[in-house]
Amino acid sequence: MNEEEISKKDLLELTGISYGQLYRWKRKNLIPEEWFIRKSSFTGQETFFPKQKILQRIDRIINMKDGLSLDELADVFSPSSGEVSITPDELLQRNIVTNMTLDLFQQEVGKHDVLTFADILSVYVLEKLLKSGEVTRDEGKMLLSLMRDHYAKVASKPCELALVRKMGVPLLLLIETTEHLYVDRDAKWVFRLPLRGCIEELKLKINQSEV
Amino acid sequence: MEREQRHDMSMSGIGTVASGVYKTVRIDGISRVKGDIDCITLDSNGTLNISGSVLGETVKINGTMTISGNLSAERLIMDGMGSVKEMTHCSESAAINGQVTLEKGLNSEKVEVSGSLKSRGDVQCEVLSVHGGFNVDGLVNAGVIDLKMSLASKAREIGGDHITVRRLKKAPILLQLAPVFNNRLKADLIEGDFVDLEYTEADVVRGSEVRIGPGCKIGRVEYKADFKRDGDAQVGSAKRI
Repeated sequence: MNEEEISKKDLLELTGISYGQLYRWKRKNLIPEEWFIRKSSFTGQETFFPKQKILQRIDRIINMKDGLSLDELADVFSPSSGEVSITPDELLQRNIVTNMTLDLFQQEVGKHDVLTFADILSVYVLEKLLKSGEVTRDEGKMLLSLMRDHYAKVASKPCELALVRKMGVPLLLLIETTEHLYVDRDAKWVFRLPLRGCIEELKLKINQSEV
Repeated sequence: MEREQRHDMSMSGIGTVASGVYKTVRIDGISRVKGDIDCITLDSNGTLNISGSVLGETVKINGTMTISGNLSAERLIMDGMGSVKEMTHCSESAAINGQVTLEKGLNSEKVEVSGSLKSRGDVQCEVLSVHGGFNVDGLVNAGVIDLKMSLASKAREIGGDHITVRRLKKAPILLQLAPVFNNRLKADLIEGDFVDLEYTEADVVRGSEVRIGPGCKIGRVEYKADFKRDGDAQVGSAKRI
């Protein structure tokens, strides 16, 4: 994808962080290696970052830094699911999902005493999409079965969830890489949702409510 | 596996050790380990050749060692010569006296080297203190980097909080004439909050406080707070940002 990039120098100036901090966060895997894009410039080699992603990440690191140690933060940002299991009631109490979404989930999947991270993520994504009105309840059910069938294969990799509609027929996609996909002109992209962002948000929510 | 089920393994002389899970592995002499080894303590005197990976808490090597897989330990103490073909991970510390060659890279907390450290990948740790020299094809990323050079050193990139480079002692005058023997640090890029360099050749140095000492040859310096330059240093351009 052709994203706007920011050079390391501009990044430091904009965010007010130092070289030392940037390198420390890189060591702690708070900033993924693939965001360091090396390019040659007229002054020799320069490092660039995907602007949106890095600014959002640094903002989150700075805001979260006081509450959590760097290692805990690294866990939040790592794409792997971590060892989280929560009961459905807790999800409601912590305001991570609403009752309506949880009901839909339990209709589809059945009642479980403890939800795994993948399940929590499914419910969370569903909640998010239902709230924004981008999916209908039926499409939500599709989403749940899609996540159940295939999420394990793409967990811990960067992946995207996308919905395409053509002539009113929905098609849900779970895309492993974030490469471009092209669809014919009658089809409409309804949304594309990078799951990594959702995982971060969700982990932050889980962590915060534990504190 | 539970610790209670681990057994000791001790070997002297020449032989082969089976792969497996052990408590303490003690090897004196020349030995070969076929496959992976998982132990609490590995203590080897002599020549050790491991065709798999090593997982342990304390790994202590006297003599020579070759590991074809990964090395992951809490503490690594190595006196002698060693090489690791895959990634090296020492969660607590790595003390190296002698020479070590890492084909992939090193992740650790505290690394102390007396002698030479060679790595084809990135070296990442909180504290890196080197007496001797290093040769890193990737990035050296450490909170504190303290290099006391007595060997020619090289790195593609160096980044961290505090970076100090010193020369231990002057090479004999005859050796100084031949640049090959000249102990200098060569790097493409050095970035840190406090950068204090001597006898360093770099294209770009960036930092908040930068001191360029004697014997340096720097293409461009970019600094934020403070810049000091020794009269003997060659600096292409210096710019405050």
